[in-house]
Amino acid sequence: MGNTIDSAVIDGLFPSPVSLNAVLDEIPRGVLLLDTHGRIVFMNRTLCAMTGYDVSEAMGLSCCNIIRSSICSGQSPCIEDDGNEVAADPVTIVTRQKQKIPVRISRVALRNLTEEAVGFLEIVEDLRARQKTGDEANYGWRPGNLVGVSPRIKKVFSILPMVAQTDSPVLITGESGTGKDVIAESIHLNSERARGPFVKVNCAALPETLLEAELFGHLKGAFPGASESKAGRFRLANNGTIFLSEVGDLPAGLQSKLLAFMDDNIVYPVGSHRGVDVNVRIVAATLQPLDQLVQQGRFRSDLLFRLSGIRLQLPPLRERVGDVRLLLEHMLRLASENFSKTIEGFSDKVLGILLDYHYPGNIRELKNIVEYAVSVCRSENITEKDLPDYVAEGTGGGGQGHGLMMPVAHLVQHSFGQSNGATWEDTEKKMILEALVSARGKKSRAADVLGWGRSTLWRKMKKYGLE
Amino acid sequence: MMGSYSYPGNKRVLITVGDHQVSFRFDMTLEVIIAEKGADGSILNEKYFLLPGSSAEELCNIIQNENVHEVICGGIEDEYYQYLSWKKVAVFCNIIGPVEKCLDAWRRGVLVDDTIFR
Repeated sequence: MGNTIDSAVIDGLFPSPVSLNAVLDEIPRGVLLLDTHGRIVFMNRTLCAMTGYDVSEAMGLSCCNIIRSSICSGQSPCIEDDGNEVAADPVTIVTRQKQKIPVRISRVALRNLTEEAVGFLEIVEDLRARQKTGDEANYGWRPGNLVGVSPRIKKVFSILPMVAQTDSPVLITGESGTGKDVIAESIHLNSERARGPFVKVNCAALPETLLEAELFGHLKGAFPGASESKAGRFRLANNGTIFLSEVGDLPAGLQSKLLAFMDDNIVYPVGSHRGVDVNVRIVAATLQPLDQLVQQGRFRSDLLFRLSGIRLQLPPLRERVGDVRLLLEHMLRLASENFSKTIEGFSDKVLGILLDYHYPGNIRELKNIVEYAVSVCRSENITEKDLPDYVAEGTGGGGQGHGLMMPVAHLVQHSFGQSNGATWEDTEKKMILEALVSARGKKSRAADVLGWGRSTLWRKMKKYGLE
Repeated sequence: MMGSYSYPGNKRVLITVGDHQVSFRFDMTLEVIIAEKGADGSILNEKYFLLPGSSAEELCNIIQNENVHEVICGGIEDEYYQYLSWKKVAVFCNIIGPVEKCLDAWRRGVLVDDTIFR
């Protein structure tokens, strides 16, 4: 095999040599080649997509650092292997994107012509698509973590099976924390592409130059620092789904490139004029009003039309009548399991507080509040003292309005709908400023008020020059 | 285990460890190092702990009980990452390599996510 698989070929089977790399890349399961010390020699494209690591990054590292399966603990089985085939029961791996994925790993020793062990071959099969729930068995649809009975959300849920069965691009819009990611993954898992990779890219997380290389890949030497060729996320998502979150933040140059890709499904890596055919379904999401961005000339109208093959608008939690109670119970059950606690429920007073709360950060905030409460709760029921201060204080006080932190984003979001001529930037800037004032300058607390991560707040403050 | 801070401006980090390397998974960690550095970047205190079993929840408890500001780990599930962020603990994740090199990079304030020390 040598030190690099790029030069490895299959010779003698076909009229001319065939690249082994290209053959392994087409296998729809993760393929890993290891040396006798359990160090990575090669990973195919499917495994790169599954783990989030490129071959160049993984090369030479111990497999447990990249695969991170639950059977990797203790001594690596490769080291003491007797060469027999091993098929591990379903285990989990943790990806670079912090996802825990159920997989089945099979391993076999590779031997040379004199039966000497020279390395190992591992096959990693993604089991997410196979894990059927009762709902799936009964109704042919796997709702996953989708919870809700309100008319607004039921309307969305009711069309998801049809959405999953088509191959059209999907645009999911909705406020931060409304579950856009969860819906996108549900669509993938219930589609014909479920056995393929689900690759998520945050379009707001990287500057334009890096994002282009991340999405479309690059050749070795295409720009300073490009010491190795990289496949890019679109190629990693081949035969699967790519999820472009925060697509409203996609820079103008990349909007054109994405549009060109959607026209011909060909990826042109940075530094290359040679295109690569890629078969992916695009699911995009944003919290920004794309129609408004189009009017302002900040988002291409033709790209919006292409992305909006199917458009799903997720309602904010405050408009999902009756769902807060369900979600509270659901999150309580999940958090209790995760924290290995036996918590029966919420006290009546806490339930009242939580049902009255407005959740500016939507489901993400509700989940965080419940997790916080479960982690500090030392009795069978969650009481008022187990709630974060801003929730307990914010809704207390006998109708004296809301407390220090709660209302900022909520009020501004309401006023946004009634504003005359205010741009999204103005509104967002105002939201940030008000949150910072109410949090007395503490950014982490302001981020909580807004229902954002601290990095999101930092990025937006930088964008608006509020540092 | 570590006691209170000798100076309020000090910072404390927890590193998940496995065989002298940063352990590959947060929830499967059996050893941790907790280190404290002063404002000048010098390591003032460093302690090594063996855990009775691997548990992400237990690690989260230790992180909070020990007033740890930052965590250095390999793979971590989003749920625990979000939880620690919610508790204002900064997490350097997907770190691969020897503990010594990670600790040195953290001490010098140059450690970033996804660093691979070869």
